[in-house]
Amino acid sequence: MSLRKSILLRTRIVSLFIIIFALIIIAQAFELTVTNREEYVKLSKEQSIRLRDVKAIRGNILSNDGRLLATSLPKYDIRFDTRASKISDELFRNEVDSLAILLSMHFPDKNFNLWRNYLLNGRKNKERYLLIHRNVSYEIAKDMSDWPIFRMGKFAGGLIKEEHNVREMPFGRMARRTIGFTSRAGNSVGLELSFDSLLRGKSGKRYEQRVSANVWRPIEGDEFEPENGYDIVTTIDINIQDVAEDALRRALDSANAMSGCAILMEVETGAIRAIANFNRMKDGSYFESMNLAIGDASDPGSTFKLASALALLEEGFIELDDSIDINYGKMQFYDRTMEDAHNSPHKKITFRDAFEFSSNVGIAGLVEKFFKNNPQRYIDYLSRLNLDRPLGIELRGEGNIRIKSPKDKDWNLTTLPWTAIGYESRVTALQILNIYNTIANNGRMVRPFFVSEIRKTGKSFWKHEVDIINEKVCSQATIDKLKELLVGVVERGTARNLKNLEYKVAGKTGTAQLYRITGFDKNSHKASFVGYFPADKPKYSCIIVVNEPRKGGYYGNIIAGPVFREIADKVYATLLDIHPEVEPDENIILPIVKDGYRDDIKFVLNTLQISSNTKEGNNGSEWVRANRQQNYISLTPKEFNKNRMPDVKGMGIRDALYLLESMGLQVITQGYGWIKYQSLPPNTPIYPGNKVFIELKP
Amino acid sequence: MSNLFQHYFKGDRFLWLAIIILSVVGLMAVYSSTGTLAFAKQGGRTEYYLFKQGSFMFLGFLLMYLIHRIDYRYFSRISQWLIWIAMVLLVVTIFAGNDINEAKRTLTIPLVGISFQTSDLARLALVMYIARYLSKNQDKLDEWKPFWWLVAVIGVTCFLIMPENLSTSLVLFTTSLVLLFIGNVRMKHLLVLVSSFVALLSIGAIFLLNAPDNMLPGRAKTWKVRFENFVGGDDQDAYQTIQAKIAIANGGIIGKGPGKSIQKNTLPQAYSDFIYAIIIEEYGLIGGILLIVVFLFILFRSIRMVVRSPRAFGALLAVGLCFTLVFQSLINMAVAVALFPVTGLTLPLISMGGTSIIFTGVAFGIILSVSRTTEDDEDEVENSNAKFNTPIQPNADNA
Repeated sequence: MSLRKSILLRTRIVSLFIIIFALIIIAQAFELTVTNREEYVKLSKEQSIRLRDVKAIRGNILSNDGRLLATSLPKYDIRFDTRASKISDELFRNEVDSLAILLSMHFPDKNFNLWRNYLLNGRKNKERYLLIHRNVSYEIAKDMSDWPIFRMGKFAGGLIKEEHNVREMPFGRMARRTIGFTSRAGNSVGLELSFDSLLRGKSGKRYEQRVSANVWRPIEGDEFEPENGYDIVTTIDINIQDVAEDALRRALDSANAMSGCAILMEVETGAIRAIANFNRMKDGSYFESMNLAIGDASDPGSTFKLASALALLEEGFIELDDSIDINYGKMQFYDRTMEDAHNSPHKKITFRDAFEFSSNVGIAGLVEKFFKNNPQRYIDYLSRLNLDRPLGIELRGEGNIRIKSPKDKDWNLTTLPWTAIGYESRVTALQILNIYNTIANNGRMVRPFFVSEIRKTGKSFWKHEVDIINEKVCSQATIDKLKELLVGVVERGTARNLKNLEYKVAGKTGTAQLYRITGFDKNSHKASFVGYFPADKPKYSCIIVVNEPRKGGYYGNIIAGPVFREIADKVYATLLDIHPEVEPDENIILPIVKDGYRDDIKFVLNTLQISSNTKEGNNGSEWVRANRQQNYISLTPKEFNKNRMPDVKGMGIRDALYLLESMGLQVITQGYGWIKYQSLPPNTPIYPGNKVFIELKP
Repeated sequence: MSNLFQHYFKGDRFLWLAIIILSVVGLMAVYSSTGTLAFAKQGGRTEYYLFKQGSFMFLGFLLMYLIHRIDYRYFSRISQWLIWIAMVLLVVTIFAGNDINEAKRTLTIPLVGISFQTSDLARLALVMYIARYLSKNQDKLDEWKPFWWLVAVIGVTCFLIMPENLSTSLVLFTTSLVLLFIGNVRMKHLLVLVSSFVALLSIGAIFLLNAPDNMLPGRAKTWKVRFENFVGGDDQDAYQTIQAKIAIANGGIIGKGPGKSIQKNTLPQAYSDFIYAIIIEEYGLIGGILLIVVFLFILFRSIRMVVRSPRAFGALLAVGLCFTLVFQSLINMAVAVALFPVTGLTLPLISMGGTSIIFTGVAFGIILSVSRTTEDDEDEVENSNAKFNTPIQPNADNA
């Protein structure tokens, strides 16, 4: 065989193999493009591109002066792709130490060595999704892009940031049920629920494509921007809320009560400035677990007598000084006996006295006498006062309200007299408050509200306007008489302990026996006080309810009255425009002053015309310790050193939070009142990001 | 016009056509598949890579044009010392090469600053050397000595490439064996060589797979991982393979159309190792088959040169280089369709990559030179068989 023929033959043999090889490749390509196509197309749809919801940022909930009550902060879960494209062995070796140092500084849960080993192991095990830290703040997450190794590039450096929003309540549990929250199970309550559709915003969508195993990159241009949620401006005044919660909690605690609530409402508009609710927990502490003020409908007790008085006066059946029969405080209605809280030495008293001293027999007797032939007419008055139906407020969850009507099957002869003194009915604290507010507002009933404004990116989108339920529930003459009665209760009657020299309070006590399935329980009471102030020019109405006090009595004036007084004092003190000019009083009682910011304390003391004596510190510290002296408050500067833990004991929560957080500390708080304990002793060296626990006690 | 073309572009016109088709396909595929790379490194300027690839292609074509004007017989002489230069450069690369993906494969030319893959040069030099050696020693092929000399040269070259690029080394070794086979080397010699090589390889593989990781030097770990992954692991390479399969499946029979690939974003190395998958995704199974047909067409044009070439050296040189290129192409495609484990071999003229394109240009230049000289010779030599039958003495040697 010639050389050419030999070469040609061998070339052709090799070519044959090459053709076979090519055919195998084509067959494989055919299998992928035709036979097994679906499998991989499906896989492709699942893994390489995904359409992701881009969650809108939930709107803020603000206090009446624009402070954040609930806000959404972006937080990041940080992960590390240890095999990202630009991380060579050499680079990793050279920079792992500096990265570990930075990590140990910012995330001290692991020290340098632990971090270093963690990173080395991650790299060794080829982790492409190594968890570094959860819930990292925006600022730190931003800085991390410049850290060693990570700075190699957005994807090539291996830094993976997964954003999510965390709901933060800067004032902790304050007005918890009213502001609301979302439970872990996803159930919301309060304003968070009622305004969810506005707060939530509209989520956007975007396509993301897989870059490496766990890294997804948004595809440019295919984005539908999310529409962020609206901000809700509430009517809540944080300062008053703080006082209300503090006072109510102390009252509940000292009475060892089961639960209680407090509401403060602006007379003219119906704005709720404070709303506090507490339930006793198993461990004896109090916690806002239910919104009793609007959700708990039960027998209101004596505070209800205002409605009866209104009906009697408006019908002209009685005048204030008419004499009425109380039969020494005990009277038979059909088969039931009604008794007053205290036996009376009198057979007859005036209607005024009957109201001011809260005579059950007197009020029930009158209502029975004048309305027994037409009980519906009495019920119509209750209806006019919106007591038989929910108020229709923005918050969901108004209680299961019930006023019996003569048409109802369970209406019987005794229903009318007992309804007249606040039994056999179910109404909420807010409803009772609302009728007192209506009287204070000269008969004009407005709907209570919690949200004054809705804002969209800082611009006002909607503003609350006073919502009138009833322009005039009764004649002005009746209003005037009722006001006189309510002032009388405080001046002469059951709430004399609330009498105040500076401003007049008008109101009514209530002490109801709580109804059990077995009947009325003589040992379980609902003590309440509801009223408004200043009586001559009403600005605010307020109701305090304490359920099942077990210690120190059960009468409304004793249990609920002081809470009312404390809130009213605070509000009155802060609302300078309603202050009449006061003459300096030598016997002035000095308030207890928390330690805090010097200028603030001085401003308050000066405004209240309480003399203070400031000892200037060497460094002119802005923070002072306040001590009550004979007739002045002494202010001693507190010396704080930079990067040292300050002594915050004796300070209030807001000043302490400001002080500590401005030093970069993470503060965990518990309790109310004054700071009694701090986890880091004064003068301990501190570093930004350190955690400190402070405990407050009243 | 046609005359003008023929005046400047000598040699097999069909070969020229095939090369131009491949280059155009290559430019389009690179433009499409570098999207992610451009996004990551060039701020989204995809033209950057198109321009870069275009520049290399221009350079490749320039070299191809210049070389095809040279009489191929000069390459016989060049091959005598080029192989030794290549070996020295391979040694230098092992000790002083640039790190790319944890492998030292490239060497930066001093002063010029261009880095190139030394194995590309070695491959070209070795094929030229084998062609020359076989054509010169046809009469001594019954002896063992010249055979073992050739095997030694092949072995040393492949061995020097092996530490940093096992797959190139294996492909070059296989190509060399095929070249020996075509070059009329005795079957008994080849059988002895192949069987001892297979035995050696098996021992090596067994050692590799059983040795603990920390005892393996450098690249050996990567080979092990790659092999294990192909057999059934789950890592970056397995991820690539699945992404490539998805790309091919997405393409279907007719493809998504130019530039419409989605997988180019998810497939690492979409512009080099896996470009064939992207081509099928965009141009479908039909496009993929046509591309294979073009490469096979090049192979057949080279066989035609064996028929017509007056000299054994020319025939062996053209066939050797063509086989190298076609074989490399098919292996690249086999990787893309998940028949082979990831090798790192490029698709000649199509994959992005500087030196690959330039050396492919040089190789085609030499093939075209053989074809041109053959055409010129046909006018002069009546009976081309004569030269084949007379003792092989390439003219270049006498010059």
